[in-house]
Amino acid sequence: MSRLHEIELLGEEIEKEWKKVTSPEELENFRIVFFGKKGKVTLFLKSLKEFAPEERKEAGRILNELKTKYLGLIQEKKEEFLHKLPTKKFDLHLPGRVPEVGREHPLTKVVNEILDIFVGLGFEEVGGKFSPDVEWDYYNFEALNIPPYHPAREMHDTFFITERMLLRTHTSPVQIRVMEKRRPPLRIVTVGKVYRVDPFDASHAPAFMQMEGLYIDRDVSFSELKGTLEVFARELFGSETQIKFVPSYFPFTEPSAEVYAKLGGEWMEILGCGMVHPNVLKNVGYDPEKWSGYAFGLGIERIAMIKYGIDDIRLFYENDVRFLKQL
Amino acid sequence: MKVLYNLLKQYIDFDLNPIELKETFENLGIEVEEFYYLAEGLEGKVTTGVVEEIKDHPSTRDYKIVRVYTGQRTLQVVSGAPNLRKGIKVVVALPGAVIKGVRIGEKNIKGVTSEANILSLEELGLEEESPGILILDDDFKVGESPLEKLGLIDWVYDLYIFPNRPDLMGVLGLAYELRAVTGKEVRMPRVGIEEDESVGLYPVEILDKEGCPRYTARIIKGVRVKESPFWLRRTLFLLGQRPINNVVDVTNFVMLELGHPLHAFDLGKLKDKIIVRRADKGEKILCLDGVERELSDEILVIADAEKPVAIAGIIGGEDTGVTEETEDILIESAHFDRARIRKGVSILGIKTESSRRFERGSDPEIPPLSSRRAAKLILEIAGGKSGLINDVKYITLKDKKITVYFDKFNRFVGEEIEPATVKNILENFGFLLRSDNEKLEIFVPPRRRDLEVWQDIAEEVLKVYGYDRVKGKISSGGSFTGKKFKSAASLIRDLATKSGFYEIKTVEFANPLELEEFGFWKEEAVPLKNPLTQDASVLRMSLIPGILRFASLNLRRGQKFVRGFEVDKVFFWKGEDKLPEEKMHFAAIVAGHLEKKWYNMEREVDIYDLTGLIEILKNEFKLRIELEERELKGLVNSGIIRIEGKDVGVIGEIIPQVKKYYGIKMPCFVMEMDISSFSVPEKKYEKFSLYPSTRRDLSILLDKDKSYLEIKLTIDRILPDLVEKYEVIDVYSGKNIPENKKSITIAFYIRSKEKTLTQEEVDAEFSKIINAIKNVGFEIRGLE
Repeated sequence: MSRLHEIELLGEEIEKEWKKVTSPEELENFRIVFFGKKGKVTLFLKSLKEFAPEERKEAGRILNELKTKYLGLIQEKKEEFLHKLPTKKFDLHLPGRVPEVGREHPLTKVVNEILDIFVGLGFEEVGGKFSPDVEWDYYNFEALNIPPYHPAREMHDTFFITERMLLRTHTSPVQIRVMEKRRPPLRIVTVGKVYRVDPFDASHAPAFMQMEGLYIDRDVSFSELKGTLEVFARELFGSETQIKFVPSYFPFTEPSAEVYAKLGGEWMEILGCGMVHPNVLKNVGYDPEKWSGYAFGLGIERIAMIKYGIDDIRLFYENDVRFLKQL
Repeated sequence: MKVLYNLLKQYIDFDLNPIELKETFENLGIEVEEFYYLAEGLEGKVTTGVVEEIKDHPSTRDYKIVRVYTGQRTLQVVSGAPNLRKGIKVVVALPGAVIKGVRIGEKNIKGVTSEANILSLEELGLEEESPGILILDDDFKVGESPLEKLGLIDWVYDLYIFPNRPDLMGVLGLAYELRAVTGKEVRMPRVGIEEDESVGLYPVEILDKEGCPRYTARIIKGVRVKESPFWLRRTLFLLGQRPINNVVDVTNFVMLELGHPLHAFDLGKLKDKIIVRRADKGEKILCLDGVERELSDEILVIADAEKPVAIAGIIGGEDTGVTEETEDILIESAHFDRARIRKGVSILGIKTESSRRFERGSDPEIPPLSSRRAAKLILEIAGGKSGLINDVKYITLKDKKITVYFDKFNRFVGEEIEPATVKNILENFGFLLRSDNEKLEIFVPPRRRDLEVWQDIAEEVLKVYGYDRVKGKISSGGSFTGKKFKSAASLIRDLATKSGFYEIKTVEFANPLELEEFGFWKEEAVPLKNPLTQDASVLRMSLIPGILRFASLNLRRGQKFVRGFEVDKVFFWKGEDKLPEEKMHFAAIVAGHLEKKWYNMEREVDIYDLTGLIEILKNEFKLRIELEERELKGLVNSGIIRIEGKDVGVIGEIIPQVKKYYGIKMPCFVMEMDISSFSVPEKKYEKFSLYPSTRRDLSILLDKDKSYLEIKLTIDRILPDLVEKYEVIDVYSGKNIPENKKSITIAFYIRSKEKTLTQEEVDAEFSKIINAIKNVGFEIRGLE
């Protein structure tokens, strides 16, 4: 068989295969098989010099014609496919591919939510070196106006490590550490773990989270303390929330108060606060005649429980993903 | 501290109903822990009856059939009370009454109908344990409700008193507090008695004058010790005290009334005199609670000439206690130093009603008054003759002066409160005042030792004025800009949750044995002196035990696949003189298997689920994090995590033995690293290329047990500039590959930032890589 005849057969094959092309994939395959780098037409064109001289010219003409014609057709077809609507059918009712994402712990969320409110009110979050979980008696008690053998220590069931070293029972030592390092005025918040000798039950945990806030400036007033915490409570629980301040006792604030919010028809205690006791200011070398301030502390779990209607504090530390998923 | 509505009303005649009184307490900062009506469930359902007839029960000897007349009708009652007699008046509870929480109705007792109940004091809630039914005296009229006369139309308030207010641990103190709000006068208890010099003065010697600045002793001779009258027993019982005998009950009553604890000794058992001194080391005393206690020289005792007879302010001695045989008594009314009492309490580990008051600080001026009050009641109830008081004192407290400047006060409050209002409130507290236009001097009596600075006065004023009357204001303070603490931990939380991991939180306590299981040194753990349990006796040094518990719990509760992480502190002991080192750790876990979905294959978790997370950290924190195979305790397939040449963590698969301990049956991989040194990188925009990228794949053959590491190192060493990135896209062994080999296919993305690369330029870059790989002796399987 002459080479020319081979080329004619190839032409017929191309024509036949072209008719079978119905999809972009088939089109690309068609292009590779006949016109790709190792395609049949390409190979023939590369081998033209091996042809008999009399056939060479004719063969070249036919091959080039095929090439021009089909590359054009391929291009046309490509365009055509491009504008053709997809034929693949989907079932919209099959469950979709859900990307697996995790979630922040509910307490982390509540912390962030609360922090955002206070940051908006001009408070700067501090942590790290200012906030060790293991503390000296001095920072946890003495500097906060709770000397040894003070009956208020009974309000803090403390885990001791040595006689002087303990697990902090509140985040208030951060107040002292910050005031020791910085000069007033200051407006800070901090979040951390605190510890009490309380076995786990539905409403107690031996370790839980607290947030502490402190504002020191000239002529800070009780009225500002109220105003700030009212804004906080309304941001957190809704602008219509009723709030009341009830006298309380903390050795490091005077006057002291507990703040209640009326939620679901019931007054719930949400935080403790007060005007910084002059002895505390003295202990960090601030002149109480010049500076005054307020401080507040709140239990994160408690807020989370109130806000989300959680009835057992242990859920936070048990970490059942069905719980973690919900909030 | 419990108080009764009607009891309180004897000391101040306020116009508050029981609910209003509760609210008033709360507004004053006195928390009402419990509040209840004594006649709850009884009102309208009990009446006075008279027993008309008593018959035997036909089928049991334990019960009698009683006919009780209640004024309108005669009821049949089946009762087992031993003290039933014909003609006595009794309390009859009709169906519907609630007795000790149970609603009663008609019932059938062994075949006989009982239409009502005859009640005992116990059932009325007035006694701990009654031997029989209550027999009423002639004051009670048949057919009338006995509740009023029994003192049951009353309300109990259980108050939480803050430790700074010992003065509120007595009814009189509460009355003073209510005076401040109501303006009503306080009625002092009656104390008028006749004192007889001939009874004698008992000698008192105070050796520890600091521990006991004042001690008074009063002799009462010829008392008849017996059960207290009903009103006293009832009052003590309702206020939480166990009635003992009339003398002891009076001392307890006076404590509840005046807030000042007293003690009564059997005079006949005391030797010569009272000596207030520190205990000798090793000295022992048998206390009223039947426990013998060994004392130390930190503990203050009341002794006679021979031995301690009481632990001062805490508990009396058994041997000198007042009993039915006692004829003459000595009433102690003293003032002790609160720190000394608290020390004793903490050494001995006991708390009593007495110590609770003394350790908060008692009023040094009160002893003569409470002694007289006790004598008054004892003489009335137990008879006898009182001697004079021997008052030995080394303390004279004057009223303390506190000055409040109106201007400063108003700035502190944040709004103006009229000086007249301030004065009026403080006068109602019973303080003497002196004032001019700009200031107010307040003379605070010793019973209010909690008031020390003018801010304390501000609180007293605001409490009565009403915290809620002060308008809230927002701090202006425009110079403050709020910001969050930018921590690596929060960035990691963000990255890990987006990567499918749930954040968990566990408590910081650890079991030292579990930490050892992962190769930690016990000695480095921070030990608790008073742990809740032994398996929570140190602070954790690793987050892994906690995170294993999380996986275990969820797998056991039916999850097939868990992914979780924790970012929190771990603690390392640095000796007694330094605070422990607190490091921020990040731990993550994957366990179980991913279940089949219609679009996904089922597969077991593996270590790549964790190393992927490391890749993410690497990119976000711009850190050179490397892994190196290392054998580690508790792990297989394990390695250490390194940053800039420093070991910061571990990664690996949990060994079966450890999995078994935690109750995990599925594959389980963990990693933990110290992120204390991580800082959130400052990010800058980097220009990216707008020119096309070309992908070239390269398949490399290597021994099955060889690591990809060598290939990676080779590529990284020569990585041409134009290679934008490369990725492992396939790891394959099987058909067409020699048995001991695997093939790793890497896709290279070649792209210039300046121009479109020609075929030849791409080829040139790619061949640099191929040559480097070939040069280190790897066999290339295929190119495309």
